[in-house]
Amino acid sequence: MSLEVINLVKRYDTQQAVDQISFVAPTGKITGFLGPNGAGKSTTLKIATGFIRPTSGDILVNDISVTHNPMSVKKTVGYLPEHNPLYLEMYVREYLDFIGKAYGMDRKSRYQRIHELLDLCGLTIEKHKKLKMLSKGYRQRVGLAKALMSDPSVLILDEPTTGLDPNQIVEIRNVIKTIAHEKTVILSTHIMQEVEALCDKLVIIHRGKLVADDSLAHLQRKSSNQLGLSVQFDAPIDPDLFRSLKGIISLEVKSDHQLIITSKSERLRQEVLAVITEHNLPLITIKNVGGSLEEIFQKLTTEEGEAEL
Amino acid sequence: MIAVMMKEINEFLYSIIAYLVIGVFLIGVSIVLWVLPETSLLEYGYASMEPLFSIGPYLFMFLIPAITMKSFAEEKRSGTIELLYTLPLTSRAIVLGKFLAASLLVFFSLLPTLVYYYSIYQLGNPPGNLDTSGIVGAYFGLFFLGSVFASIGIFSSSITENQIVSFVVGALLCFISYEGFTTLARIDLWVSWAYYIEYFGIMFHYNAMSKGVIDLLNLTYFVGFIIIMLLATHYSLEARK
Amino acid sequence: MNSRSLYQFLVFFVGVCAVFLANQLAHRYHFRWDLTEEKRYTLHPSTINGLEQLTEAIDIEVFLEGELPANFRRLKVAVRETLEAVCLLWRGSYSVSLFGSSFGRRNESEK
Repeated sequence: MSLEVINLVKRYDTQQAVDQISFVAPTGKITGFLGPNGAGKSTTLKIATGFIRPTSGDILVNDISVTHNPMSVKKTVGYLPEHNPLYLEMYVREYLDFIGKAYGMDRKSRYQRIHELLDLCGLTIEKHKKLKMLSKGYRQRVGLAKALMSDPSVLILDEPTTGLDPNQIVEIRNVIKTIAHEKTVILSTHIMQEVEALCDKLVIIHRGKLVADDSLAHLQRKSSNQLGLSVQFDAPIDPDLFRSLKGIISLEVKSDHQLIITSKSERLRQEVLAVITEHNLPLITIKNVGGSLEEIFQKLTTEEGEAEL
Repeated sequence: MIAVMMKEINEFLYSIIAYLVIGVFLIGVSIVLWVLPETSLLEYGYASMEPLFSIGPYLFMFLIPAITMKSFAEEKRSGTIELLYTLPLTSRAIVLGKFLAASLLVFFSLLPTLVYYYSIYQLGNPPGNLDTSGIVGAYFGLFFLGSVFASIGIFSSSITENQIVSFVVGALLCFISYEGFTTLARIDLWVSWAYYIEYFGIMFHYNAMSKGVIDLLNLTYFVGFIIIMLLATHYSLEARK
Repeated sequence: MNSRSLYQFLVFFVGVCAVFLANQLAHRYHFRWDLTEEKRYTLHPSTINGLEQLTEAIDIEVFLEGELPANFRRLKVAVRETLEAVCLLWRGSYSVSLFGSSFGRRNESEK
């Protein structure tokens, strides 16, 4: 039980949307699928759910090829598409019932499952409303309930929290966390906190290419090897004062007021402070930069970043 | 297939368009049958339902594309087509489900006209002086015609995201396939081919059927027309991927 | 066009061909079911038999025009339909002049 992407390529007329991507989303884990807007995340997920066909390559869901046997794949996958399209004229229960019918569930199991899901997704009080009457947060919950309707072993969620307020985001995350056990979950997002809060594994793509495929812990460790400090002064200073520091990697002069220093030394902060006090420099702020996932993401998905890794 | 059909029917019931279409159809037919002096049965003095079957195609021509214009166009526009095509439903089941729902609506719009049949039956002198089995045949013809128009409408809905475009293209295709070939056949240029050109038009087959004669030839034509249209729909949806 | 869309197109194409074939077959094994009470639209077998034996040219002229009462209007339609059915079976050449409109066929040999 897993999802395996093999050398996936999707070309539209002139544009290469997905370019030779391969990765594995293991069972029982939540895999974060990251990339800036337009990186090819949704395209990849649409291929995984059989909505569009790849130009070449394949995706195996529980060892079943989506290009050769899309119907079996569709049966095992629960999917929340980007922008969460819904039949707005339908009632909540009716909508879920339709989804259940499409999965070939009988009346009794549909009824039971809808009951469970309304409870799990916190929709019970809204169950008699039309979908168009629901707020965005509730619609998102309906979308999630839809993805879970057939109790799928693979769950694909395309930006499940976009456009929600912070409370709603937390609620949706909690639902995802509760259901994630023993399922393969792929969650696409461009929000870093989401990954830190939820995911075990990270896959980052940029412009259709794979730029990182690693566990969250490993990536974090990697990033903390370097330490960066942004130092700001009240008056122009001479950046050369800091060049002699131990283990220094780079010294970036933002302006004559501000410096960014990266170094391998664990005592960077103390050393910098020592220089400042020694020369009696007019310090305003000192803060950490880099090291967070956000930084890694930025690094990997900008032009300069590509060269470095 | 049944799931998609039920969903479509529910959507018809939620939207005003279905009621509007059935309403306009019934009002149109009533006016022609009872009010307009040229076609009114009361003036005509002959117990026949012929006006219903001659005006029916022209009402269906723009009412049925109005029913079907939503079917794929709206799903594409709102993105719900992604829901539909990522559920374990075959493309065939989706197209067929939508088509069946539309032709069921055609069926329901025809049902109330049975009231006219009853009225004319009673108004006849003596009551019952009406060619019932001929009318049954003609109803078959009208239902098949409606189904053909529904398949045309569904096809035109599958080629665009815009309901208006879908409606206009649908109505135009209905008109051309109904009358176009017959008109074309009248041109003297290809007089020896006239029969075959006319054969391609719906009118040729519908007229034969609305007389109350059920001909295997007309049946295969109607069913074949529907099949081709649904295949074209399937193809236009698959080509998108 | 990649192999997938070629396949889709073939499915469509084969479907269209099958429909045409079905229509051809229906042409060959003609079967009609006249639901009208008096079998208004069905020619009597002996009529058909007679028609198939005749080969000479005919000219038919029907005069039925003007402000007609309802039953004559119906007659007009029925006459036209019957004549059309007869002419389809007529081996020889014919010309029909009917309420101002006319149709007909001249055999090649007579030219």
